[in-house]
Amino acid sequence: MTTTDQSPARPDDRGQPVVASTPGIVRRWHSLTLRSQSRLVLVLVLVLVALVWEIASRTGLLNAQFVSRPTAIVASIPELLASETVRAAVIATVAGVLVAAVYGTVIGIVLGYVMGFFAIIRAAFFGPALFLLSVPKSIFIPIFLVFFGLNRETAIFYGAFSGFIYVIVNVVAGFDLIREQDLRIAKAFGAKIHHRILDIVFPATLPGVFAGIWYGVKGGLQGILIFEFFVSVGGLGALITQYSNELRTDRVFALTLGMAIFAIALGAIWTAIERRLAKWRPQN
Amino acid sequence: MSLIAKNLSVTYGTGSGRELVALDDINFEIARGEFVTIIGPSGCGKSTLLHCLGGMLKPSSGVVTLDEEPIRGPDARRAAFVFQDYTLLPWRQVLQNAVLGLRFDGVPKAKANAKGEEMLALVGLSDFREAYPRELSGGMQQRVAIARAMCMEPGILLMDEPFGALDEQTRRQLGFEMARMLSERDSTVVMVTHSLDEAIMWADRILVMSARPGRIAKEIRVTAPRPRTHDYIATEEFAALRSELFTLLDQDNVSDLAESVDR
Repeated sequence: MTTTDQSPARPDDRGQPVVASTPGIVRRWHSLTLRSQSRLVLVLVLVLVALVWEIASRTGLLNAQFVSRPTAIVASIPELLASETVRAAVIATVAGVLVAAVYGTVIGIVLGYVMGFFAIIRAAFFGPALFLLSVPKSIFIPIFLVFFGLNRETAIFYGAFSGFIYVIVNVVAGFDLIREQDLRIAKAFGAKIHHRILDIVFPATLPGVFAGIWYGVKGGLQGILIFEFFVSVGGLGALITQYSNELRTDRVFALTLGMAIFAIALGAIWTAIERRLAKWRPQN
Repeated sequence: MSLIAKNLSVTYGTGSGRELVALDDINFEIARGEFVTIIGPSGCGKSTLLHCLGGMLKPSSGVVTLDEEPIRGPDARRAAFVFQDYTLLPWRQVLQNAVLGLRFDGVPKAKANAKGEEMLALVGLSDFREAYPRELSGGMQQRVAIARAMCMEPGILLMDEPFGALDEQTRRQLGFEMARMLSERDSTVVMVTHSLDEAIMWADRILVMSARPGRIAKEIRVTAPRPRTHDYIATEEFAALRSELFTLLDQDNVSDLAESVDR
């Protein structure tokens, strides 16, 4: 003999039964965390956009030659991966970004700490650094070409330049995170200068350094790509410009998508490293 | 061992070119094992006085000596501080915070850690040696700060409103525990407090300061033996001392107190 639940559903405030009228899909939706819900919404919206794009392109509502379509973009990926030219461009750009990021962050961290430690240098140079931060860096491309010539190294120098200003500003801002009471404790317990630097200043400024490194890498990526877009020195930027001129829109989108995934992966890796190195900080 | 403050004065220059006398002609002596509390109206210079005793602030005139040696700068072996805001380094685990002073003092890591473990056990935090400060309650953080000071085996412990940031129940419980521990170890303690109850409960002697310029307006001896239990709060002596302090620190009497010192 089987039994069924005969208990009536509990009424809500207006006397309406709640459980019986709630469809399963809604109940499942409410059981998801906010993070899962937001991801699901994002995926749904992207799928919807791709669907509309595909239909509009196939029906002639959009000119497929200019905007391509999602299926064509996906189809172009294997041939791009097989292409020697694309592989060489990817390697050149990725290597350039990494070298530029190292230059930019190292120089930025050193200059940021110099500014942080010496008030007079901060007073003299922090203002100009903030000004440089707000100026579009691309206006300096001609200067870099004049100084360093038309080659890959110039792209790397420009990429480093695009990143290091962000690093400086963030490292200097990190100095504002040093708590007065931590310095007081160091003094009360007889810390020598190297203790103050190693035990107080470096750990306290670390959030600024972390933020600076991330912005330095992002700046390096942007700088290299912009330089490659504007100046014919090879790399992915140049290749995207070439495909764009040839109206190979599917390849343009595929390469752009690839760069976006590269940037997101870099961000995820950096977040994981930061979380590991700064586990003393509140995670939220 | 004795800590002596002799003709101690501190004067600050203000932005308008005037001079502000924070402490004026402070004189007292504290014997080994004595627990002294300092109480007074806000801004009377209690913390300034404590900072002078610990060498964190150079007096404008006068001298502080410990065992006849003038205190010229901070030295946690001679005088270790416990501040109101705990001030644990958030990036250091509990044990690393406890041994911070030993590390600064160049004590080998193994020896420092052994001392840190001992002091953490004393304040009941052995199980939290690897926790970060953010994982501890305010009371637990203050225990670590006390352990950090005790690790230095200081000649004198200087506590600046150590329970001021805690809720009433925690401050009372922690206060009893710490007072018992410090009494058992025969520690010499100077504690600044705003609380009349704390000032009486833990002290052998209470220094009452007048409003600015800060002076020692009155010394009150508490005769009941330490460590004291909760029962002491219900005694006539406690009530009488509390009443006396309350009257002394009453806003209307603070200025009279300063004038009586002048006379």
